[in-house]
Amino acid sequence: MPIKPIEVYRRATTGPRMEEKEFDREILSKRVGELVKEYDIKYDPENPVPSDDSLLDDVWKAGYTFALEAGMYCTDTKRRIILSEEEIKKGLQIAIPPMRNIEDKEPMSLAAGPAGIPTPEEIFVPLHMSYAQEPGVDQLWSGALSTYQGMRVKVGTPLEIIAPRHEALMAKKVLERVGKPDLIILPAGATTYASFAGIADLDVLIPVLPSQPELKTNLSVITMYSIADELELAWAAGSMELIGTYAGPAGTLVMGVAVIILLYGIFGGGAAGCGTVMTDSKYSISTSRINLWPQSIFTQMCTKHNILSGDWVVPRAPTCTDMVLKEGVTQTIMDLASGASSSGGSGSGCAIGPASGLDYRIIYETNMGMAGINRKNANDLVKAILAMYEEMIPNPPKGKKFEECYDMKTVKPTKEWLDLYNKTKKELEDIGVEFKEAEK
Amino acid sequence: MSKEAVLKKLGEVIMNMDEEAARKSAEEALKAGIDPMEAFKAMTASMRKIGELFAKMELFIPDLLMAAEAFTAGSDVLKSVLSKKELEKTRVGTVVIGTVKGDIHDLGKKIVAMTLSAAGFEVHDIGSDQSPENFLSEAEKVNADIIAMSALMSSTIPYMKDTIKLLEDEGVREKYKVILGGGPGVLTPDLADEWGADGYGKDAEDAVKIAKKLLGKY
Repeated sequence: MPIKPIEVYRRATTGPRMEEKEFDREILSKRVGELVKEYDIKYDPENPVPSDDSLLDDVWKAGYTFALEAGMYCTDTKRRIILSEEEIKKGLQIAIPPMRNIEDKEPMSLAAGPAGIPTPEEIFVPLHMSYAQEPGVDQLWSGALSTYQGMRVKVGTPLEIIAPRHEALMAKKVLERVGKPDLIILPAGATTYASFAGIADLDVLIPVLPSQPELKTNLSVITMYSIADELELAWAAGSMELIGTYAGPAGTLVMGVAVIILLYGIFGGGAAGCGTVMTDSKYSISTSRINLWPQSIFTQMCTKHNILSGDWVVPRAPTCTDMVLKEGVTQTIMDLASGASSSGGSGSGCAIGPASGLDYRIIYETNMGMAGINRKNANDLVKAILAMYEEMIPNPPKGKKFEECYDMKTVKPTKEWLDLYNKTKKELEDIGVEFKEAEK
Repeated sequence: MSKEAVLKKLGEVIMNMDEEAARKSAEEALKAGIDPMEAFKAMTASMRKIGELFAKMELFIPDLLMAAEAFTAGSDVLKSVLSKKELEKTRVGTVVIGTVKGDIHDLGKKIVAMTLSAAGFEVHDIGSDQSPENFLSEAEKVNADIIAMSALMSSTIPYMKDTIKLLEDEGVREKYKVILGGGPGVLTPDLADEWGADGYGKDAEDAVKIAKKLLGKY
């Protein structure tokens, strides 16, 4: 372990002090801008899946330099947690190694589920069943109950614990029902209590330490780290970098590299993995062109430096649309060629609610059918599919709610949704996408 | 310097996000006998350009913040010579904005705050993790027209409903327009409507449109 939680806390209270807006301006925007110029890292919209290996080295050097200089900013104490180069190297030594290489023939490990999306309690079980029953699910990522016994789940109330505990218990029941009792459950919880609420008696649960984007953390996360360390739990530390807030795609990429280096250095001891993903801040999605380029480079660079990189599909369109399926396929192809170890779906950047198991199924079938694709071919395919949906990103199709496109008793997709699924697959097969269905 | 040159310089110092220079340029504009409303227009035009550059990812949040600070510095100088009636003309509306209790996510809220500011609103950003009482007390203090609330988590959006209920319980619901915004998939337009909000902003530009519409300022 590079540094223990108590040392993280000590540095959060004694490190160099600066106002948050000064950190944002001088370190996030200004210094990142300088590094992007110094290392000549330029966003290339024409190549969402680049094949430039020298770019990977430049991105690594820029991100490494930035991690060493910036540290992680604790918003509660207004101080930076700075690591020495030796501590950064120790953190990288414990980084979880990737399970795949760039252009690897092996498919990715997949997770499935609503992934923290607010989930009405009346559909919680069928919704999670729709994911858990699908093939190739290695982890079930729980949704967040929006109500429990009719009461709105609210932070700062007992429901902050009660609801996540019941999410975990219900998820466990779902897994038993579908005959997969040993699958790992990732909790939906985004708060200190919620993330640990399902722990007791549930040895398949891995809490996720949420991190604020752009090299920031807070005392609540450091406390969670302490709990996980004291209880000797395996945990994951995750973040997301928002393209367009403090920097464009190139700058956000450099920040992402610095974040993963710092996550391992600061929170890495005992972690089941640390990761970050690039997110288009305008729509909170992962499937736009501006997002795919930095994510691809980030994944390639992590893989090259022996760090596991995972991804997650956050589409713009709601479920029961051809667009949501195309988004899943696009990102999966990018992930496969770039060397991502894991991915899955599906959260949603749309406003109407959770997605469905069928949204995940196309990710699985793409994963199995397209593993081994090289970056050049992936680039061509990704561009072709992007052209089918990217103009609809500002105004996606309406789609349907989960309960409108699944039979709530049998937990099977409706004929309408299944027909649309098969039609969209055919459309994508016609341009060269290969799907591999699960054996029946 | 000619009046045109003074106005041009005023626009430029806002584009350069220079707070001190904005103050000085505004003073120069008054000394040159320029109508303060014309000077406001020059600064607002620059703020709009800055908003456009942000949307194109050529400028980012810290730039918006610095531009807003420069704009405020210049505005304060110009406002000091305006009559009450003229001051009222410059004001599109007053907004109190914040992230609700238990929620520390504030990037989206910051962008909305600065976009509203660039559109001519007087914006009072109370920060994150704010209780319903804090929203109300700030709204009363600054005589707000709009209370805008942001949240990113399903477990914090209920505090939006609590704030609206507080306004009702205090008998002041009609005094303020309430606009909600937040993480897509977390806060839905249907929920905002169910809770009695006056508007749901899906992004910063939408928030400005809705705010203007609610105040009858198209």
